[in-house]
Amino acid sequence: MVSKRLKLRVWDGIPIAIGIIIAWAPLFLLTGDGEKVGIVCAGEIIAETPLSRDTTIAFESCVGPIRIEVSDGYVSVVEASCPHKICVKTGKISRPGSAIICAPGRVAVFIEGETENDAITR
Amino acid sequence: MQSQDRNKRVAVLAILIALGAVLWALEEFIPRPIPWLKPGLANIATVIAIVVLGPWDGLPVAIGRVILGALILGRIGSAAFLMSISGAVVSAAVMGVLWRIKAPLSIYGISVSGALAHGLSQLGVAVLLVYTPFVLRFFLPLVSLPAIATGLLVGLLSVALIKRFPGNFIYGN
Repeated sequence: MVSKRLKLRVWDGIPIAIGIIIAWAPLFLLTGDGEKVGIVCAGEIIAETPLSRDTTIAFESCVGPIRIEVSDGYVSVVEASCPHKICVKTGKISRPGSAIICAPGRVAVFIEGETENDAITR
Repeated sequence: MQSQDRNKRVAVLAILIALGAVLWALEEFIPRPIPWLKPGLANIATVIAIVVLGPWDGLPVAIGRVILGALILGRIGSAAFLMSISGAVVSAAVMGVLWRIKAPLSIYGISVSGALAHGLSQLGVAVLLVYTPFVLRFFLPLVSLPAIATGLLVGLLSVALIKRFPGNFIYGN
């Protein structure tokens, strides 16, 4: 009985396959309740969209049109009418808790979700 | 004859617990890239106990070696100890059940299953202790992929050792 089980068998692929499946499971299980992108202008919620879905949101900010793009899990302001374009220069954000602010346009773009800890000390 | 058999069992069990504890403690000194990645060589003792003594003898070996190992390293009762003991017990139970029901797996497959069960139960305890299910996203692949490799390694070493056991030493053979 023991001697038969000393050599690798085809069935041994099953635990190996289960291991590989478990490794990939979080990609399928945990993306649904992932981060959301919130956009606020002058205190009003303009839009709320999942970070995982690519979209473009354009609306009128306090100083003129603004265009926000969600693609590949990143959010960025691609066009704005403010004088210094700080919001555009902020670039792409992806981490929960981070935000893009356009002060003249009174626009805030932020990512909602479970915030990662930078570090834990004990 | 009966008591002689029992004595032999007890002796083998004790040797395996000692072997497991020493391997477990020595493993702490192997440099490793990521702190929680251990080859799990101590599981060799559990695998051998299951194969040589019987499906349920992996449990005392697992519990014994973790307690003994923790005493050597002075970390009994710590979070790491809780993770170690849960991992060792769950993996011994999984491997024992697979051995008992005569799953069509070789020692390699059983060892991989044990390594996976070990890693996953440790992760489960870690999540319960710090309560951040969020970490699962990063840790599941980091736990289960190396578990396959270490499971195969432990399987290889266990097979090499079991082959060297005298035939009459193996129960139920």
